[in-house]
Amino acid sequence: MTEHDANAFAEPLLAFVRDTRVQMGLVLETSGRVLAQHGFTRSLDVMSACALVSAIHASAAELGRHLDGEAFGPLHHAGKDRQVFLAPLRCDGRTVLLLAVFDGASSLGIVRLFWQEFARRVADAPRAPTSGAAPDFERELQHNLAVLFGRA
Amino acid sequence: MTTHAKTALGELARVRGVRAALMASESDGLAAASVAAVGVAEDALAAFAMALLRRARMANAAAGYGDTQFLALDASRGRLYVAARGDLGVVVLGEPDANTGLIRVLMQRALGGLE
Repeated sequence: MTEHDANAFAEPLLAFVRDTRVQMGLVLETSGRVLAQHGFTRSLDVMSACALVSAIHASAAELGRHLDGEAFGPLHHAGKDRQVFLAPLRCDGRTVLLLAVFDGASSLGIVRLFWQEFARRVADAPRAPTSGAAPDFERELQHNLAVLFGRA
Repeated sequence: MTTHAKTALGELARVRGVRAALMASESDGLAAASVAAVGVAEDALAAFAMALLRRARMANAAAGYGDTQFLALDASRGRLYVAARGDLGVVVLGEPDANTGLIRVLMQRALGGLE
């Protein structure tokens, strides 16, 4: 995570968490590289969450392309006590993912509402160009997925 | 959306001073049906009104007053009304001079017809 990324995503994420009262928030690239986080207590949790979220998004996006011609948008899963909201947003020509974990103190409506506000704040924040490593990784991931789904 | 819900929201929207009327669930804060004037953010209205209802319910339950059935929020330039039964809420956004009594009756009727 570069200093520019930290500045570009940390403050919007903090505002998002404050406004929505979600328990945990995570911003990452589709490759799984973390950009900002709030509420995770251990670094291992962040890494696990990033890997899982990246995989879930890749699967859902590919499924969307097969079924609907384009990647699906936000995804919501409700559990007994907690819910997760996973949403992609375009940022400087790349896709960035936001994961929010919340309970009864918030709601899907509130989270969806402030996700749009988060996207606006991220778009307004200054940042440096991304490094070359992540797009390569992403291209490779997309290629492998295409092979997996028999499209390569 | 059921025919009853459409009719009920239509009746509420026709009351003078009403800018928006919608039905939403408290658990997810999403609007299921709505009638609103241009410029009213229905998604935001549903999300915030249901969040307010949830807090009011928690406060009333903690005070031992039982379930919250109706709440009205007066502001300098408008009023927010929320009537609830179970997980379903009816939300109305009105001007300060809107007829509160009529709105309340119509909101209760809207909820009653959905049972």
